[in-house]
Amino acid sequence: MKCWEVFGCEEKACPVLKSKANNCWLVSGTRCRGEIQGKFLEKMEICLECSVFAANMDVDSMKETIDIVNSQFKRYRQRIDKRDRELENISMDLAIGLSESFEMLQRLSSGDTTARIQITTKNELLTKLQILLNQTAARVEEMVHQHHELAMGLCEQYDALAKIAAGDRTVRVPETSDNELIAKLGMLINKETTILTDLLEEMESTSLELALGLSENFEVLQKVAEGDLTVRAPEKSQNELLAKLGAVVNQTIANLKDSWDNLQKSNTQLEWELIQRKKAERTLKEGAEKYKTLTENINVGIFRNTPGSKGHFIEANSMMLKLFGFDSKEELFKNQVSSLYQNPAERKKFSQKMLAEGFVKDEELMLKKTDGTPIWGSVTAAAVTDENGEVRFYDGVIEDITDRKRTEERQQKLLEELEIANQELKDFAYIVSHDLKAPLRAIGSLTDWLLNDYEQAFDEEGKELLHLLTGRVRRMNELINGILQYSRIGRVEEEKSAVDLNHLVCEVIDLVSPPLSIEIEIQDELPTVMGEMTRLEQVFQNLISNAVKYMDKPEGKIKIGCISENQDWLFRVVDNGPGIEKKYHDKIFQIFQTLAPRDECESTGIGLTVVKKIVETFGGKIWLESDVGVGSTFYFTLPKN
Amino acid sequence: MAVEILDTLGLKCPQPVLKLAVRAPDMASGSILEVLGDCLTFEKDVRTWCDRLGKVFLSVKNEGDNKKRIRIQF
Repeated sequence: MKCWEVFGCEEKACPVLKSKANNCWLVSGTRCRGEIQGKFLEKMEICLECSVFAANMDVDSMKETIDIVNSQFKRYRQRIDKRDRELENISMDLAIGLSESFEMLQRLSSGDTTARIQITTKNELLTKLQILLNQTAARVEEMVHQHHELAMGLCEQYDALAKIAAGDRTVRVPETSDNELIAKLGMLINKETTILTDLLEEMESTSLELALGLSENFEVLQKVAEGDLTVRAPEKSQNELLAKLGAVVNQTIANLKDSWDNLQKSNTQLEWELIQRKKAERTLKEGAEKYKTLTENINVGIFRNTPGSKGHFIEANSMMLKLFGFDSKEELFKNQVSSLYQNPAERKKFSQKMLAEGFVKDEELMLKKTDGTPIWGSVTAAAVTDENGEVRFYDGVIEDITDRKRTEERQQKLLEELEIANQELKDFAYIVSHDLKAPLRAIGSLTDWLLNDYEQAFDEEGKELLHLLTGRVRRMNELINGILQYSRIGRVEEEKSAVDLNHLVCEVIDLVSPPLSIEIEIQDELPTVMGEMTRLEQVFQNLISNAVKYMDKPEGKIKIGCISENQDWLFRVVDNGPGIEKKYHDKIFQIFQTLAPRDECESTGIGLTVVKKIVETFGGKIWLESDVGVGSTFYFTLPKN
Repeated sequence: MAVEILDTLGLKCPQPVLKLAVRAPDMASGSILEVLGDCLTFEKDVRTWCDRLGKVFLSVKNEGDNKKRIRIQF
């Protein structure tokens, strides 16, 4: 087996290749032997596994190889021994150095940052290692120192901050430290603490002001809450918020006051309404009760009936039953309304009027009771309509006026009789007066003749008697004239005309011709009235002449006046005469009544009776007021129309 | 006044002083705190802390195995 064949070697200088006889590198002079055999021990494993080596291994070759190996071993042993000694020294050095290093590291790790190694070794690596360890320890010491400083600084700052937090504003943290960060942090904390303290003081000051201001506002609001709306909050404050709060509070109080006032008004109104409502409710209740009592007790019939020719009652009070003679309402309700009319046609007329006007008032109807007894009823009723204007029923009242109607009939009859009697009396007064005047005139004429023609036939006493007779005849004549005048009033009517009383009264005064001792004054402008001039003249003439006639004062004063009083003219004739006692105030207006003795004052006693009759005929009235010894005032009225 | 105890056994520097710092504000003036520690620099650190923060280092009792009992007055 050739190596070059196995390995495909083409190294032409190789003696094995050249000879073709040798087997492998074991032959001297081959590059393989030079490179491989010299390092046999190193390459032995390669050769032992080489198939060529195994195939070519023979004694010689092995011997040669073993020799070579032995020589190599020998050289190697020498070198190894030398190396062993060197390594032993180095190992010891290293062991000591490492031991020192370990011990130092152990101290360092235990916290002894001062631990250092005394460098004695000559081993470069160890020396470098120990230097590095010492440097590391120094750095650790520095770090630990910084660490401690940091911790202490933090402790100091924590302590100071805790005190500040507890309220001590004088405390400041140390600003000097080996640690720059701690020093800066201290400065920063102090700066912030100062700012915070200032801020806190300002806040405290503001808070105090706010608290005081709020307290004032609170007091104000408390008073407001107690109902005092006159209080005001202070609006002046250095604190803008307080000033605004004051203004807002005041505005709120003002609004509250307005609301309160309005509320009170509303309340008053509501209370008033409540009272009114209660009153109304009470009135309503009372009214309902009264109505119930009233409708049942009232002396008129109250009804509700349906309209139409077949209308019937649907509501009625007790009086309705009594009025028509029914025993129960059911009985009444069965009857048609028209059946209660004496003349059923009147029912139709009544219904037509109701439909046309919607109501009737005091309609007098001839009705009848259920037994046919005629009665008179005064009906007042109204139609009640629905939303379409259709009559639903009639509500009304019926008053039984049967008695009144009978009384009226009787009165009418009496009036007629009285009228006839009056007329007869007037005629009688006229006739009697007229018929009496003729014989009286004859007596007067005869007496005159006796006095004139037979004067010598009478002695003084006879003449005196004749004079007395003449006086009585005159007086009788006046009486008859007075009766005639009186009877003419209302019987003989003069045409009415507008009478200017100013003019009329002046004429009367001229006619009366008062003596100079009596002054007559017309105090007011007198009206012009419609009436019979002669009658008006009689009124003023009687009143003025009476005042003149009975005047007892040396300076008589008579005043005539008039004022407007509602629908009338009120006239007065005032005198300062003797006055009339109160008990005669009515008597003087009665016919033939005189207060003065006939020998003192000639009077028929008819004048004031005539005046009264005229005034009353005109629709007025007459009366007097008087103080005895002071004078009298006669008043009378005349209607303006 | 009862002595209060602060146990820092097993804690390494600077934890014991940090514990002390946290506890300090709660201590009344004049009161005594007993601190237990076994860190190698425990005593030194506590002394420094007392110096720096104005507290009184009252006593130290060595109880073996680096364990020390230090009393501080506030």
